[in-house]
Amino acid sequence: VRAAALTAVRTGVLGSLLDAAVERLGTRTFGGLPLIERQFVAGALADVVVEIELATGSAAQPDAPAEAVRAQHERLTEAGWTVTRLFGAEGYVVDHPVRSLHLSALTADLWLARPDVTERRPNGTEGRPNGTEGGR
Amino acid sequence: VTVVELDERLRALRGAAAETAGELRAHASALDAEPYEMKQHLGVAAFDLIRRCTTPPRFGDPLRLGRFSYAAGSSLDTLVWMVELARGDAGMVLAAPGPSLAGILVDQLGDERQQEFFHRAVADGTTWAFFAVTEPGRGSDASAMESALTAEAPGLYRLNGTKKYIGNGARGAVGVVFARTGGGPLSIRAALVEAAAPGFRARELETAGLRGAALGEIALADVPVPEERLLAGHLPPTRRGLWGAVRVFNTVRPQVAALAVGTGLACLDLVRTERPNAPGLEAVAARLEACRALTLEAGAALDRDRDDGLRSSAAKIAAVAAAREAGRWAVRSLGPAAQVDHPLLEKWLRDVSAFEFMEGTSDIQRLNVARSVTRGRYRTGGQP
Repeated sequence: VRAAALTAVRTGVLGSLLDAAVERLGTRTFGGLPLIERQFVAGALADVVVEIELATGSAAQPDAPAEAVRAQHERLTEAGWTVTRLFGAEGYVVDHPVRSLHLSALTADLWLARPDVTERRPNGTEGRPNGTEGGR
Repeated sequence: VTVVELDERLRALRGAAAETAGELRAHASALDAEPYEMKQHLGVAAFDLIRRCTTPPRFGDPLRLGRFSYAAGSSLDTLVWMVELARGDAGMVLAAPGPSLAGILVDQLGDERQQEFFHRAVADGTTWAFFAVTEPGRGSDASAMESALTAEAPGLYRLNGTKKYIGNGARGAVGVVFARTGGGPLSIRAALVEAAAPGFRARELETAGLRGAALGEIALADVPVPEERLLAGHLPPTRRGLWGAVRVFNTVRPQVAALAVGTGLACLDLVRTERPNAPGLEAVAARLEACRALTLEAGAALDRDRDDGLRSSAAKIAAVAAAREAGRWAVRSLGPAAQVDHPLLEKWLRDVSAFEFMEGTSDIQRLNVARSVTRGRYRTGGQP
């Protein structure tokens, strides 16, 4: 249930930033043409709409298996990246609204259980490992 | 397509870079937290390696390993060390003081006095340089730039305009700024500018990741520029302006790919340590190594022909995607607490997004590749 609620929140955030992207791309030009008329850009917009529609449909299935839910959220994360790209470098500044899509992905990463991750480190160390310091 | 075989000389360079990468990784989190607090990082061995490998021999002391030496100018050399150092931390690579992008341009377009002025200015190991092309609202469309160099008196120009998303923008002491001297496509020039000049104002931009790059915005109001600071006056008009910027971008594009490959390898290292049997590990590793090979091949192609950017574009598309995928795979492999337990993974996931926006987005690179195909410069299965 909480995964479905998260899906609803994430698609809502995604939709509102897609609207903002459409507005921005209609006014920005490259080589004299509005960016929104470029095929790559138009295709990216359409792909995100498809993912929003798919996610809206799957949110109505409360008993979906955990693996399906996680895969659905990974797709929302990718759709979020597609929208993020539409804002270019200006979306990489911390106070830009599109950063909420990064938070959306981070929330799903931290919140959704991943029962398939059962292995531990080979030496059995628990707690906070120091693997980020080496591992070459 | 030939595959670059690393000879003894390049293997030595790769090994030396790999040895210093662990130290970069140890500094990465502190840099991410406070990218302008650089004093604590200036002594890392990799910064010395980078400075030696990016300074022309007549202005510095090239890196020497045994009987081999490595001076500035070889794209292949640069990409070999850059992948390994970025495997330590790409943010730290971009935080290194020294010539950086501006140096590539000055070495190609500057006359002897301009080169000497620039390299002396950044030689002390505590000075950064900016390379200012991009303007707010213009992104990849450099030909639409509005910054202007206006002749005020014989031998003196005034520079006006705004540059945004400039690496080292707010901490560089010297650098190059592109601006128009007129309306035509050939009237864009690059000027050597010092941050201490009157009318030069810079502010920091707080970015979501890759914070070691220290992006800034530069506002220029009637900055005086003596004519001898305009680059390429000794070259034909067609070689003075955007041509140089395009060459720098061609050179830097595979470097962004190298930074992306290194960051992907860092994520792979983490999973290999924490969960050596994680499903997909071999596929992720193979993909990143394929991207490294393509990146090195792109560098070798540029060393043969500075305008041969096809593989640079292909390498950037592939490497940026592979690095993101490696980061996402690491998150899936290590579980919900991964980004809490491993702050560097959380950081690298923010960092990899930056590569998309540097030196042309993936869509721009796709257009470059497609143009090479439609103009007959590329045939599948054989040499272009």
